[in-house]
Amino acid sequence: MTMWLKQIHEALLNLVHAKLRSSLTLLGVLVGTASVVAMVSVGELATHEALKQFKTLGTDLLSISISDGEESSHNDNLSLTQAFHLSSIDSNILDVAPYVQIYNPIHYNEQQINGSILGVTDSFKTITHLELMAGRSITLMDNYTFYCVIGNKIYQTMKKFTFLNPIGQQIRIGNELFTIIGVANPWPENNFVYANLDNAILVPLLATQLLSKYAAINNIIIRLNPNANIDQVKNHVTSYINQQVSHKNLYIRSAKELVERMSKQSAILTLFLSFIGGISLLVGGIGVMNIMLVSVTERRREIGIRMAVGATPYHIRTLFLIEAITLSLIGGILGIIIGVTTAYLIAYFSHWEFTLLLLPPVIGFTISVAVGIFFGFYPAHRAAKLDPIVALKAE
Amino acid sequence: MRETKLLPLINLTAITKTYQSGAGEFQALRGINLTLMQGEMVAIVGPSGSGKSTLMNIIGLLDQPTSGKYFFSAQDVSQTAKHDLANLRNHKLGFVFQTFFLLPRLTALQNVMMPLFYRGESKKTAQEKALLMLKKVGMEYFSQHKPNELSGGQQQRVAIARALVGDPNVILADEPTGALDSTTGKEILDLFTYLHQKEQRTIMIITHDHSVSSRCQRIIALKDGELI
Repeated sequence: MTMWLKQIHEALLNLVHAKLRSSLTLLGVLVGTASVVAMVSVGELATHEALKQFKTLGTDLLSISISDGEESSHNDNLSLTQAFHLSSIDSNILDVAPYVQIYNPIHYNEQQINGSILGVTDSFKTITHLELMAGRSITLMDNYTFYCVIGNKIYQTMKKFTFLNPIGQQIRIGNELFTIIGVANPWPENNFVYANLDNAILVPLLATQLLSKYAAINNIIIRLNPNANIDQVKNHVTSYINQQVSHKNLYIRSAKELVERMSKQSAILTLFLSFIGGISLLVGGIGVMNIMLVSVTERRREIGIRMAVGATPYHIRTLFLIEAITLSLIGGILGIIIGVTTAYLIAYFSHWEFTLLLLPPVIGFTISVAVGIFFGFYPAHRAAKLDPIVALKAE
Repeated sequence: MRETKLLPLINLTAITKTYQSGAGEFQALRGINLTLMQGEMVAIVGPSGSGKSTLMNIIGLLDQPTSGKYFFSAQDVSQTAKHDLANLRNHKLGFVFQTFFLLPRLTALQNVMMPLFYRGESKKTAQEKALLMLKKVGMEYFSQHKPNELSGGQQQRVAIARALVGDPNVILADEPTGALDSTTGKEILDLFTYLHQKEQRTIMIITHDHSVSSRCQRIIALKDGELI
């Protein structure tokens, strides 16, 4: 124990003695460790951020987009009844939310408001987990009535023009006046559901047919049994829709597959970035080795004196190895601090949630010690192998 | 302290040392037979190139002979592993060098503690023993000084304390007064004489200074790698 403390103490003394050289060497390991720590952290945070949007939504979802093929006619569209019938074609389909998206000019108090119109039914709110901050939501009972629920961003825009309670106010969509019956809470943006609910006005699905002749059920969101065989459901859905309407293009996406793909992508990205960090660590390690070799050459006299008073090759090897490890460890610890700070800044400017992850600092710490041992071993071995007389005679 | 004098401490038989150089071989030692008794104070003299440094390195276990037998307190050390040689140097030998060879970044006390540290002694005991030795050589007030804050004579005293601290069987001194002025050199020599006479230490001094060798009991002269 005494021996180790003494060796560490002497290593520190030597490193402090050659301040400039030590700090330049530190820099290599520091940059390497910092990049590994930052990259791994950022990779993890990005994955976390990507998955966060599915936290409320869940991943047991299918999204079906229906678009016109070259030979299809606009009149041959999926009816609401046909869409709801999807829930009985496969027992794994738990809920179905068809919706219509159209773009009609929106006006309030003769001011134009940007946004889209979504024709929905009850199930849309349940599947998308949209919460209302006031009023009630659209139901099937609303049929063709001109009622609407406004998204949060639309509500914020409206507030600029009026101090009145939005509920009961009228908003003009195309040439028709709609009465506001509900206001939605902010909805976390999600790249699975294409529509941006914050910037939308929800109206009864059937009412859209009165607004536009192009109104058609062009999107369906399906909630699945968690254990469902996704490919099988996809096949059932495709063949069902193709039976009902002809010459339509179907595009079906699974939230689960999307998440898996995103995780895989970020894993590859993390691996790639860590590889780059690894290269800088390698360069840093070579720096450590270089400086330790110089140190061994410069201190041959000292090695000789220590050998003369009874230091064994083991003692000499330990002395230099500890010095190399101390050097890279200090670089590593500073690198961890800088790496975590970098990750924090990246998260801050990307508006991500920042969590202090345990794994990256542990990786950084382990790697920097390993670099010290690996690149310090050869110089230490050379020091230990020196002949006492040759060492003593060195200038 | 050491009652039994006249026990052979060091016994060299037909020791040779050959160096391989680019041109060919160079014989530094050609068959040295030498016995050193316990408690003796011996001077090794000879012109430069006579092989006296090589001889001292072999006796000091810093180097190994090409052929011949070397017994150290009846133990054959002619072909011993590096690790064991280090331990023997640590326990049985004390070195004093011409240019002191103190470690510049350590204090006088830390320099003296070094041999004990390689023995694995605790910091506390090592400190006590080292302080005692510094006191013996008259350097107790300089224990916290670094070598560059000390004069040559003072540094050599610290080096002698370092050689003594492990209680070795023999002290090997290579030109110990070579880098000192004559007054300081005499003081260092007085210290060696004191250690020999009062503590019955075995001392071997390499020198070409007659004032040094004349203070020794026995003078061993070397020329061209042979005793004369």
